[in-house]
Amino acid sequence: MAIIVNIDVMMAKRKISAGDLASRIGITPANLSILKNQKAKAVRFSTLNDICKVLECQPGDILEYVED
Amino acid sequence: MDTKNKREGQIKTVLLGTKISTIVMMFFCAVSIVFGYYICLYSWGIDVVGGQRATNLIPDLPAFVLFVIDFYICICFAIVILVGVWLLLRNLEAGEVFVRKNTKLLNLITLGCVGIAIFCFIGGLVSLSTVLIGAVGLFMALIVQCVKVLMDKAIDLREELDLTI
Repeated sequence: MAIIVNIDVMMAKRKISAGDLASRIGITPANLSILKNQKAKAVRFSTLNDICKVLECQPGDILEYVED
Repeated sequence: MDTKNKREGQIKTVLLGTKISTIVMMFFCAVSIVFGYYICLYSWGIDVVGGQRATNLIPDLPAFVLFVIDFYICICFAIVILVGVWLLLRNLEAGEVFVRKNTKLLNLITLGCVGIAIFCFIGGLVSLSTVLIGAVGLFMALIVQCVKVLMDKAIDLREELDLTI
């Protein structure tokens, strides 16, 4: 996958736990784990919006394109 | 809500009906295994009376043996199909609809249908009426394979949906 999800980096920067972030975004910890482990096939704009809102960052801070 | 309950009731009725049909077919298979030789003899007798093989059976003995072997092989494939259908129904009842194991079972059912078709076509060498059953078998295989492709697509969509956060 060429798109890397750097949500754990942002979580570390903001010092927020996975459970706390999941509850504040409104997704299950299992889904957050899928996102963190690069298993997700798609991210809804609404979810991305909530993540950016909670982590106070831009989508580019979370998603990164890496050439294969 | 009422429509949903009605639909669930319909699904349960269909599942029950299919299960009963499968049990009845399994019973027929068991009867065919036990009395297969006599069934073949009876079918052959009709052929002999109705066809050109007029007087005695002895010159046609190899053909009759082929017919009996063909009959038993087809029963084996029928059992494979029925086991596949039974397992599929069990999965559907358990609420496991769009899962990979169901597509494998549909493949198994297709294999059974194709097997019956092939051996019925071979049986056509000695009794033309079996060719018709072979054609029906191929037709069934085609339908089951179409359902299998649809289910594969549905599973892909479901997996993608499951991994959309």
